[in-house]
Order: sequence, then C-alpha cells, then structure tokens
Amino acid sequence: MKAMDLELFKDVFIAWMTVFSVTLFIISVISYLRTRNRRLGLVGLAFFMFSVKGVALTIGLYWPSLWNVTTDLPSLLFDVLILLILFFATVRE
Amino acid sequence: MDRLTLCASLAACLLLLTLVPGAGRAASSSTDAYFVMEDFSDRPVKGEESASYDYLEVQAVVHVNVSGFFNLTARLEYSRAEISRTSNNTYLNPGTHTMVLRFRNQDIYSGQAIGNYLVLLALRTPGYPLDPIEETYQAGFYHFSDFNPNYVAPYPPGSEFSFTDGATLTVQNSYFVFSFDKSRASMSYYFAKDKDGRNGRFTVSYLRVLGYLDNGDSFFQRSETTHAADIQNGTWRCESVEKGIHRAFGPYLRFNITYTVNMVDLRLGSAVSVLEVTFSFYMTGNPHASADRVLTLAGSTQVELRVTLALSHIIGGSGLVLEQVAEDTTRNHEFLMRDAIAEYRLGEKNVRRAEQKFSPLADESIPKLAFINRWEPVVYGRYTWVTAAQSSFGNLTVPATTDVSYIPEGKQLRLFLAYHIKDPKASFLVINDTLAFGLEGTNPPPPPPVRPGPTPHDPLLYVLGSILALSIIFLTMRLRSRSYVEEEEQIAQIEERELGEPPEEPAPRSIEEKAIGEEEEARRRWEKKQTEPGESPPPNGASPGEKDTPGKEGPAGNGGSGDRRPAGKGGG
Repeated sequence: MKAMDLELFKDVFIAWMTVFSVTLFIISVISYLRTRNRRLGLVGLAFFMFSVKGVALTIGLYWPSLWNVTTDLPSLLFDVLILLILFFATVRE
Repeated sequence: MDRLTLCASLAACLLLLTLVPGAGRAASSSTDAYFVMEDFSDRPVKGEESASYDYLEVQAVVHVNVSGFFNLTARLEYSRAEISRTSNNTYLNPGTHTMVLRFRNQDIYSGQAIGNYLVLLALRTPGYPLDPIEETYQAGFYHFSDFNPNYVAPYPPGSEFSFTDGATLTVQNSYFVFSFDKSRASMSYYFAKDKDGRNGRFTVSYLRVLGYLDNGDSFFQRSETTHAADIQNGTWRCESVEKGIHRAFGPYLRFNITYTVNMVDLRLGSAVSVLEVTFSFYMTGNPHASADRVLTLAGSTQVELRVTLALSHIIGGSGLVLEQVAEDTTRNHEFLMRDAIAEYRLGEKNVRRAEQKFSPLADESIPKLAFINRWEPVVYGRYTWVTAAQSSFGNLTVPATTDVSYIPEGKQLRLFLAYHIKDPKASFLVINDTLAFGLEGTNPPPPPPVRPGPTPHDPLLYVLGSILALSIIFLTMRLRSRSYVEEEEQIAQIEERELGEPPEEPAPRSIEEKAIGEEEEARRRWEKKQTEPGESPPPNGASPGEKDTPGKEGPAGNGGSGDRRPAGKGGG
C-alpha cells in the first residue's frame, strides 16, 4: 500500500479522535456538574487534553503553516481505539 | 454495548475503509513506514588551517514518513578492502533530510588507495523492524595522499613547464597544456588531466588586430580602420616561469608568452606601429588534492593580458581593437575582447601601454570552478564576483566584476564568463568567455532528486469521518436511551405490582369453626354413605355427628333435630 493512501487515513482518524474526545469531554463535564466528583473533573481534563490534541492535529493537517503538528498513523490509530473503548465504556455504564 | 451498536460501528468502519483509496491493499501491508535513500554526493572537506583534507564527507538524501531514530552506516571500500567505517544516528521527522557521514583522513590515508572509492550505505531504524535500505555509491576519484594529516603543501609536483617552440608553440606541465598554432593564430589551452572531458577546453582563434580612427562617438563605433596586423605574423617569446607564494593559495606558478607584431597602415602600406601582447598564465591552488587538482588549477588559472602599443602616423583620435572571433571546433567557445588603448592625436608618436590583468585579489575573487563537476541541479545560474579581477591602466587600478552564467546543455555545461572592467577614461573591457564542461564519466547527469511533495489531505475525508463518528455517537446514545426507557418501564411495573393490593384470601378460621366444618363434612359423608345401599350403619346406631356434639342433644331431643333421625330408631 502506498504511503500516500495511508496518509489519507489520517484525515479520518484525526476527525474521529477529535469528535470522540470532545464528546467524552462533554459527557464528563456534565457528570462532574451533576456529581461534583473531583475524579470526574480530572477525567474531563484528560478528555479535554485529547480534544486539544485533536484540534492541534487538525490544524497541522490542513494548515501546517499555522501550526505544524504531526503524528504518525500507528499512534493515531491507538488514540482512536482508546477513545472508542472509553466512549463505549462510558455509554455502557 | 448493544450488539446492534457494535454491528453498526463495525459496518461503518468497513464502509469507511472501502472509501479510502487503496484500502484493498491495506490488509497486505503490515506497516506504513517507508524510507528511501537516494542522491549521494561526496566531497573532501578541508579546514582553513589544514594543509590537506580533514575528512571525506558523504551525503545521502533520505525520505522518511515516520519519526524516529534512523541509523545510517557506511563502509568505505576500495577493491573490496575496507578503508573506513562510520555511522550516523539521527532522529528524523517525516520528510526529506540529508544525512552526512564523515570518514576520517587518518583512515583514508592508511588505506593507501587511489581511485574511485566505493561507499556502502545501509539505513535502518529500530522503530520499525524493516529490512535496512542498502545502497552502494561510487565516490569520486581520490588519492590517499590527499588525506595525509601531516601534509605540507609543496609546489605542485610535476608543475615545471616545458616550452616547445616551432610552428606550434607549446607550454605544458603535468596539468596544463597551452599551445598556439602560429600558422592559424589559434590559441588553446586545456588541462592535461582531462578525465572524460570533465575539464574545459579553451580555444581562441585570433583573426587580426585592428587600429582605427575614432570619430568620437564611441570606441566601438570606429569610423575607419587605419591599421591592421595579422597575429600570425608576429614573433613569439616565451618568458621564464615565475614562482611565488600566493597569500591565499600558497605556491603559484606563472609563465608569460609575448608576441610582437607590426601593424601596417592600411592606406600607406607601411608599418606604423608595433604591438606587443603578453599573455601571462597564472596558476595557483593546492594541487596536492588530486580530486580537485585539475579543477583547482583550472579555477585558479588566470590569464593576464598586457598590451603595449607604439603608434606613429596616427591621424585623429584612434583606438586599437584586438578583434578576434574565437571559436573552437565544437563552436563551444566564444572569446570576444575589445579594448581601446588611450587616444592618439595627429602626428603623435609615443608608446602607450595598457594592461588588463586578471589576477586574484582575494580568496573569493578566484573563480572556483569545482562546483561545475558537482552537477548541481542548476538550470541557470548567475553570480558576480564583486572584485573578481582588477584592471590596471597605467598607474590606475580599477576593480572589475565578473559575471558567470552557467547553463546545462545536454551533456555539457556551458559556462559564460563576462569580465566587466571600466577604467576612469570610460573605456572598458568586456570579455565574454564561454567554457563547456563535459560530464564526469559517460553517464548522463543524474536527474535532480524528486522530493516527495506534501501529502495531500482531503478535508472531505475529515468531514466524512466526523459525520461517521457523530452518527456512531448518536446511534449509541439513542439505543442507550431506548434501553433506559424500557428498563424504567419494567421497574415501574414491578414497583406497581409490589405496591398494589394483595389477592383476597379466605380469612383464617378458628379451630372451633374448623372443627364444626369438619364435623359437618364428616356428617355429609356419613349421610351419603347411609343413603347408599349395602352399607351398614355404625354399630352404636348414632350418626358420627351425634357422638361428638352432646351439647346439642337437648334441643335435638325436643324435636329440634328429630327430623334428621330415622323414624325406627326414635321409637325404640
């Protein structure tokens, strides 16, 4: 498989990572507001950092002159899988 | 997670994968890492304080698409014997990089090898368990003595010139050959170590020398040619070779060739002037470096031209044109030089001397032609030495600039040199010098490295991925909320069932009532048995109920219960 084809996966994975991290962040914020549990606040902070990473990677993907943030595909794939698992775990429980 | 959600997610993932170009090959690809190594180059590097090269530097252009540490190892060989080995471990980000390796001069000098060295390179990265990329690259021609750490530059070995006069005047040494065909007035010089035509050949054919009357418009718009001379009719004199120490390049050599020609008045047919032209060839540089020896000499070789003219019978302002249209047999060279030497007045008879001297003034003033053979992917280049040359007119010295343009033409590189010298009297000298350089070897020049362009990213894919993720989230949340509703309904039903009225059950009877009931039941069974034929009554002739209920006998004896007894029994 050509690297150029693989590079196109980045677009999708970064989009996934951004959307899922933002969703999880919102869920965790709502949970924190309801329970006032500090642990949930820290979890929300973690998801917020994931969201920032997703936004940064999005900028680096399409506006590299603005902020050249790059990552490689395997680590990106792991990020997406982690977020997916966390998301489904959150929704399940 | 609901099975439906999981199936929907997986289906969405598969759908997305099919949309990505080349996704069908994804399964066969174990990794997306790749690195390419190409475009090698080598050059000896010499410090300013070093007498010889300090190390041989090899550069390799690598393209990588993953970040990590990359290890480039190289082995320098000659005739399959290892000379040196080195490596470079560098952290690279995705992109194109130039990795540099340096072989020490001690190792190369100890190798005692002369020729084109072989460099075996291997690029690997521990981050990805791929096979190392291995390439073999033939470096340039080197002499081990070029890397002698204890070298002290002497005069160029074999640099003594020998002169051969005759129909063709020849001056040569180990590196440089100059010849002048007197019969054709053709001058040429080239470098003896002309490997595969890599060095320039330079040929100039002089036509004649003209003197002219100047009508005042311009030196170059001469109105009338007054005198002329064919150069081949001159006499030639080879001067002795000079040796000296150049402040920038150390030892240098210089030899002079002078020819004298009588110019003829075209109107009177008599000799009117004497022209003396001296060419000085000036060579310097560090010729011990064999790889650049020839080119160093070529780059450092300067031609100094001195013109001495004695004129008589001159009418009006006049000038002198050394006019020649020079071209070699391949028509690669063009050497055009015009010079006006002062101004002469009617009846004036004196000797004027002009000297155009192209000599190095500073380090940067010397045209360094070594880059020519590097075959940089230059389509067109032009640069100027600000003080590349110096023009001396009598006691005046003015700076000159040199413009160089080099244009690759097929297998040759055309080099244009233009020296612009302007003296205070507004006369100037422009030499357009074109040199053609061949290739190193017979192979065509390597194509310029094509660097991989920026990877295209499609925002549509990003939007599609976002929509897909949102749909997964929406679907999951919706299914999850639906299951919440069902669960709540079930809980409500259970609670309602538990909190509602319990079913009505018969109130517990007392023991007495229970006993009475049993008694009546037993009586009913007994009466039933009595009514059945063939069954004998109990031995005491009383019903079972009577025996257990004596308290009720009184009322029954009063006739209250007489109707339930049989008639015969009551009469006995």
